[in-house]
Amino acid sequence: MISRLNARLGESELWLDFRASLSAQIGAFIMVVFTLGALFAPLISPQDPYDLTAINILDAYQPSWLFGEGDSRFLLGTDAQGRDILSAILYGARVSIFVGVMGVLLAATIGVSLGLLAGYFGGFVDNLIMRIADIELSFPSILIALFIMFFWEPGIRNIIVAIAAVEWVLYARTARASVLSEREKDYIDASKAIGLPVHKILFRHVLPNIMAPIIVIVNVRFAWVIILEASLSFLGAGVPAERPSLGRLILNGYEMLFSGYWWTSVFPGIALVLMVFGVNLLGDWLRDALNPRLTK
Amino acid sequence: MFLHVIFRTLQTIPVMLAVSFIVFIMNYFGGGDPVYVMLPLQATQADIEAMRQALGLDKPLVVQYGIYMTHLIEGDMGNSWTQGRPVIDIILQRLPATLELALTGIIFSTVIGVPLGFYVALKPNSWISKSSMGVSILGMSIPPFWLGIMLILIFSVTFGWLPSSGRGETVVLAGVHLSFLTLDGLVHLILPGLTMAVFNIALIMRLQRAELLEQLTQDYVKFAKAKGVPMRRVILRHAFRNTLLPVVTFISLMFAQSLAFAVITETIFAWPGTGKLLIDAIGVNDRPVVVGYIMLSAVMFSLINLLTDLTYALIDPRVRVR
Amino acid sequence: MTKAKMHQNLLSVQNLSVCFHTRKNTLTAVDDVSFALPAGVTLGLVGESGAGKSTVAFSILRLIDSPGEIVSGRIEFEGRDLMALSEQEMEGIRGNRICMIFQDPMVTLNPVYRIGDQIAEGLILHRGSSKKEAHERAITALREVAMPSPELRARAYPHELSGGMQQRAIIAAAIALDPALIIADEPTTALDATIQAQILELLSRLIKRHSTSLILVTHNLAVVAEMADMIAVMYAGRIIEMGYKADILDHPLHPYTVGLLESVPSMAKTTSRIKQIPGLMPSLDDLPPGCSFSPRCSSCRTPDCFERPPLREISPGRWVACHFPLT
Repeated sequence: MISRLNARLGESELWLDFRASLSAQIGAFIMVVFTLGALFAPLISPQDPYDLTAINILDAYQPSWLFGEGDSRFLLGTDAQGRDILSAILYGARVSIFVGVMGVLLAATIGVSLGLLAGYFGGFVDNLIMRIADIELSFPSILIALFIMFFWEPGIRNIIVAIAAVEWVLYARTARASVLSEREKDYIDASKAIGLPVHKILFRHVLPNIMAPIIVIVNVRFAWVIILEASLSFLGAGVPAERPSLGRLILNGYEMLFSGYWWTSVFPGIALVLMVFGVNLLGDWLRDALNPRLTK
Repeated sequence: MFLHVIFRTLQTIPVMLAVSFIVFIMNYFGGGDPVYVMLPLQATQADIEAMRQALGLDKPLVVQYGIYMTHLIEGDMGNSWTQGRPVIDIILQRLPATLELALTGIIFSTVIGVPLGFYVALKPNSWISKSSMGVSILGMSIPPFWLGIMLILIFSVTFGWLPSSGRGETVVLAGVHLSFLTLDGLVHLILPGLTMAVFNIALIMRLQRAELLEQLTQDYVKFAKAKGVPMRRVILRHAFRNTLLPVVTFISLMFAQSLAFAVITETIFAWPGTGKLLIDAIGVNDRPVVVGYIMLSAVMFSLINLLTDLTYALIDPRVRVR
Repeated sequence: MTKAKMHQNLLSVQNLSVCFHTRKNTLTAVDDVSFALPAGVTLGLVGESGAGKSTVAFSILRLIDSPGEIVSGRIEFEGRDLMALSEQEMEGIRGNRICMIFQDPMVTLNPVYRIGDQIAEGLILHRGSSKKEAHERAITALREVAMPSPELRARAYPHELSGGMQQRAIIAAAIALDPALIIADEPTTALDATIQAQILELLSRLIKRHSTSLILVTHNLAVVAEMADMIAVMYAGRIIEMGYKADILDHPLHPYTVGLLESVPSMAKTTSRIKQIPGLMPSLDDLPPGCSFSPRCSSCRTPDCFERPPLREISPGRWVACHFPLT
């Protein structure tokens, strides 16, 4: 299958570039592993850590089997309730990835749309959107998200919206800048002259041009959003305790740190770092691969 | 130049107004009734009504906004529901600790990141450069809160070399408690400072490198070389000088971010700053403190942005034309 | 017999070759170029974009950076081979004995330093002047390039000046140390047409006054016709014709030179179409074997042109690289 994929993409310069970059491949590999792991979490994890009948409080505080002692059922040990850490990580990654992806997609959709509108219509609309953007930018994003969650309740839907509320600005600015430069071009006037409606112009002509930088931004911000969600969850302001993300798991582990039960916060953390690392590796490559074509 | 300063200062006012309005609205419609927080469980309906009247919560929206704004301008943000003291006093008392922490993080980041970025740009093939670039991606991937926990695990719990909480000894200077003036205080600053710094070291290093490489391709560098200026001077006086603008902008952005991220670091290290204050207040639903924190943050960040803009004008003569 | 042979040559470039290393292959940007420049003479180096003229200019100052590389050649200047000097010795020559003027003054000047400082820098470096002396000398240089209010302008930043004034400042930097040779790379291309004439006239006055040699790199024949004493025509990295201005302009020998001259629109002729040389100059990775002009050449299609024609001196001071030069 790889060779067939290879044959079809073989012509594409992007693919050749990808094959030449070991770090991009490692990044992509890590992301694929985590995505699959998260998707199939119910199938592959040894235990469903949130099924109250599957866990046994007597199993609590088991150290990781990999490091010598402990029960062979619990490769990475258990937490205070007897939950298997490995399973918790798989389920936690699910939540982290889900929130990350949805948050970024929502932010990108809102941001690009607002940016396109602001750039195309200019005037009052443009001013309004950009003023809001400026005010928001003068505040660090984590605080805004924290405050939003404070006035709202914790919940997966809410945190996705909070993330989008904080992240949209970058997309809006990029989209707006692209529209402003495209607007000068003659084909816009030509399109208007033949009566093409506004939204068609925006979608068919302007949007494809900004796809490449938006993709790069999405990738880079995805890494950041995962960290943001994890940080918020760690502070207790993110996802609720019943469906913990990796950040929440680390919070649970932190409370046990001084008693010597280190594995409860170390392993979820390593998983988190690995995941973000993969995204960053790929993002780094993507930025270089897509950019020279645009600017130079 | 002076006009520039005035103009920029005036521009911050609408921002503050907007923020205060948003905060007021969120406060008004937000969940959690303050009365229930403040009164004991056995309070009767009469007590509740009385409290409501005392807090002015029975008045119409517009009136409440008016009262809120008048108090705000005087700097009165009400009293903490849990501590009973004026919010502004509480926050200002804790501010120096947070500023110390944020500054320590910035100093670490800049002192390590800028020279490293420089070095990597100029000697890309050395093993230091290659490993630095690789490690920097890793550095950008470690969530600061987890890093703090790991540092505590390694240096406090396992080896017991460094303290895991608190500020240590402080010295009072002009009524302000400072910890970096004592050895004990400095030792307490190390782990939290590092926690704040690592992420930013990676970012600054990469930024400095990218900017320097970009500048070295510019024509004015060729011109300087053609004048016979030695390479060292070309890099330091010509190219580096032009990287100052984006790098300094970034550092001030980092400072603002640090004040925000202090929230996490202070929680982990039990650092008695405004961040921990915020988290504690959120935990007990002490809304005046949270609202007060938001407003003061708005002031601080506007100030930081203003200072950044002014530094721009100092560094880049092209900006001064207004 | 010729004027050139009566003076010792100030600059003698011999067999200069410069390559650029790309990911795919190595391109030859300058291919075995040789010429001599006597003192006080202006040489116009003409050719299309990409012909290698700027590369030759930068090579003289050894300012070729990777992925470029000066592969071979001798560059004799004031009796020394510049290729044999150390980097430090070379730094002593740049901006001192040989000065360069660039194309776009806005990006040539460092935006964060004042004009006066940028001119004075060379003086402090090469003459060991104090800051005060250097600044005074800079103001004098600005006066010499007819900069209005030189004391005021010396304290200005580049963005505060117009394009013409910026270029004057750069010329001031070039003459402040009284060099023996100035290399000007398309000095007027980025300027308005009206300013172009002023700058050229200024340059002409200055080099006459100081007896400076000038290498003028340009694609504009009109500029060369004005200013040059000698002309060298470059094509695809090689010099294909060289000689005194009058000879080249009135009696061109190489078909390319002929085509170049004929393609200049003139008020005198009343043709409806502007003449063009058919085809394009080949890109460096796709050079034809032998004579690089032969695919476009109307006067020869013989197999002889598969051999590269050497640059021969067919009469004193007159060089051409063609198997069938026009007579």
